[in-house]
Amino acid sequence: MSTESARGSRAESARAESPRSEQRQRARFQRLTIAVVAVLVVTAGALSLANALQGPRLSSVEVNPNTAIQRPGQRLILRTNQPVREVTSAQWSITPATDAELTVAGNELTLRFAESLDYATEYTITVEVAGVATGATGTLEYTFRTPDPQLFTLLRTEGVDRILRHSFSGAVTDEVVFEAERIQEYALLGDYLAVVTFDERGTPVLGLEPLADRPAVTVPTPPALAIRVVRASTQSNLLGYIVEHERSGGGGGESTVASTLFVYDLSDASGVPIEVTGIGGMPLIVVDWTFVPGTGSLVAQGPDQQLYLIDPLGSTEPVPLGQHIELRGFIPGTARLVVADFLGGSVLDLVAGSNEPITLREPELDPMLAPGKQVFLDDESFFHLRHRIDYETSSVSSALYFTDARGTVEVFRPPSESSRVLDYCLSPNAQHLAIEVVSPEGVPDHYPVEPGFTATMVYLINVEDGTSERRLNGFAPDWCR
Amino acid sequence: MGVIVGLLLLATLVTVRVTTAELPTEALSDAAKDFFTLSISVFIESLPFVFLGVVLSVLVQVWVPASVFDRLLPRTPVLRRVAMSLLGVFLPVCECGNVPLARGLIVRGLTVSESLTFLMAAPILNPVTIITTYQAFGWDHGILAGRIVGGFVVANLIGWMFSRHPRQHELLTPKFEASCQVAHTEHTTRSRVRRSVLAFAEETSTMLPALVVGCAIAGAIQVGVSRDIMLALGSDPVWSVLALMALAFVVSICSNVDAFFVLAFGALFMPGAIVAFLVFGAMIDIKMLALLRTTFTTGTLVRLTAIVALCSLVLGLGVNLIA
Repeated sequence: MSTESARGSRAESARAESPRSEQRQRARFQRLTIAVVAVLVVTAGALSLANALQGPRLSSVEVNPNTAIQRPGQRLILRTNQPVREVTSAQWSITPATDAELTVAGNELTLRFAESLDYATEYTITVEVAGVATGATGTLEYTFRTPDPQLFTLLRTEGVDRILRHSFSGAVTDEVVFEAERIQEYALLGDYLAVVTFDERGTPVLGLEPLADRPAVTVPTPPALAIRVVRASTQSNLLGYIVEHERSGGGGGESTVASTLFVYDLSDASGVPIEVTGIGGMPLIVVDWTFVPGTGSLVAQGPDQQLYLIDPLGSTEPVPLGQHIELRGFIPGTARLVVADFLGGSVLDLVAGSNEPITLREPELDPMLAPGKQVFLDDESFFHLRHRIDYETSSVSSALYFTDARGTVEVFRPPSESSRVLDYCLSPNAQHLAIEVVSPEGVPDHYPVEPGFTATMVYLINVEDGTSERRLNGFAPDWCR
Repeated sequence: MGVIVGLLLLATLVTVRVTTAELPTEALSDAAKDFFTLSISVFIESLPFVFLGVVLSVLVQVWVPASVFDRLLPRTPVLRRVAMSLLGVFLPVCECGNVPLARGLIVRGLTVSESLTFLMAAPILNPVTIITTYQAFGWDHGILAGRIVGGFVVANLIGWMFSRHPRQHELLTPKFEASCQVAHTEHTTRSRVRRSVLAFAEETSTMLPALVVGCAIAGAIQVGVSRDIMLALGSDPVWSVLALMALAFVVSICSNVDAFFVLAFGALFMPGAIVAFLVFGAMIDIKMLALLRTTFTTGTLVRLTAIVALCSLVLGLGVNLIA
């Protein structure tokens, strides 16, 4: 037997000699047991009461601000420590005011944003809730800030061209991230800028210039007369571009210039671009093209104006979408492509596979204004550019208008009457416009592809109220690529 | 004689299995099928740990000199109990495996309160349980911290309370107390190997019937009690704790895997209820009481169960209040 046990036995023997003492010890143990139980019961009672009076509290939150600024329909999930009752619209709010829907299931409150959220904005959600079991009320409050995205512009100056980085909020401005003697165009692909420059012989070269600490990559192309329409799909790690190159005619015929679309997969270790082909693997001459937003699929237009939906990495055949004059872009947040036809326009829904003509309200504007680019917000509302040409002074002035079912309003007019709008586009979240404005002193730079002007600025405009937010040096913002 | 009976029983079971394997099971009601499935699953889950515990118990009883514990453990009773509550770190078996080991510790001369401290703490304060709980819940809502801290505090409270009993051997069943005395006298009369074999046979023949009975009761209650009722209670900060404690008591799941079991209830029940499940179920459940009854008196088990239950309730309510 161990020492401990022996000690215990001796102690017990000693106690046996004193029955009264042992009796006292037993009674003390009983009292101790009762006291411990009593303390625990009282504590449990007090805690029960406190729990019953305490309303639901926030236990965790799930939200991805990065995707919330990119796509509509994103969710924010508030989880409470106990299931809560249904919440009416009067019981919750979000500031700044945003179109959203709140649903409750158990201890999860799911807020679905109807639109993409704004950049660099602090959102606060407040919900008055009541516990299902206790009815005790509480206030849930959660604040988060959306990212401040970076924007790029191309600045062409005498002797050197630069790609500038800005932050949307203005914290970063005119930071040079790449420069070369001549930059034709560029596209943002994740942590890379795909840039078309020219070598010493004037041949266009496509390279991937790193924005982070990574090696630069030269994208192999056939001997190119021109590289144009460079676009990127960051979600799919794909870069696409049209190469104009000579193709020898068969049977000793004259060589012709072919426009071939290539896709470069950044995640493909081989680094070999893929030629986009037509039905049956036949060569496809591409006039214009665009990625389907958020996917690796693309829509390409042939010289016969036939459109094809193509999965460049897959084995499926291209899907003909019919003949249309022009690609006008996707309705934000959808796979609905607006195209121009001879007698108007159509919307091609690439998910549903439908083709619906669109009937737009005729803008109530001076018919002498020359129409320009159209950008659609949805099936019924669109931005459109109008130019007034003064033949006496040979000057052009521009203004941007917005037309929907309610009528037409002017959205933007350059500060100088003789300035004109070169191009414009919507931000990825469709809440801002980037408008390229050429100052009166701007002169053409005579680039053969993607020509521009000196003295060009990009104005950022709030779509909701038309307020001017910032001006950036350069043109060709990456939102428009 | 016992070996012959055992072999005959085994042969009978094999014969029943071979001859009835192809028979349709439609004759059994759903409740009966659930009963057998649930009971056998708890039994199979527990069996390896029981055998591991028996082996460790035999090692402690026969091969580890009694002086080892005196040498290694602190002299102060409080510190001894603290050390005993952390012993599970080196013995990663679940609560059912700890019962034979705790019996071995008592036989080896440790006090009942020290063994109880070990018995209550070891299922929680061991690496396997901590890792599985972390994998299931991470650091969310203080569930892991609540289980570890709660398990330590409750075990030491139990140890301290029972250490105040003037005659701790009275907390044991007379049969087990007598076997302790026999074990001491055997030290001088039999070889260690023979004593090991006898101790193994003694422990398994004591533990296994208790395990079977405990598993059968757990299976029967699970079939009888509607889970829907317990789930309906999950939204209340107080009833959710009581409901999951009741569930822990009934399902008798081993502490090494109970975190994954209760993970499915995580979305419906409050964090405090989860903590109470993980602490109470690791210390006390139907199967565990059946096993403990081989060693401790009914009065001891009533006190033990009441205090562990109240402590778990307080812990769960406290976590619900702050987590």
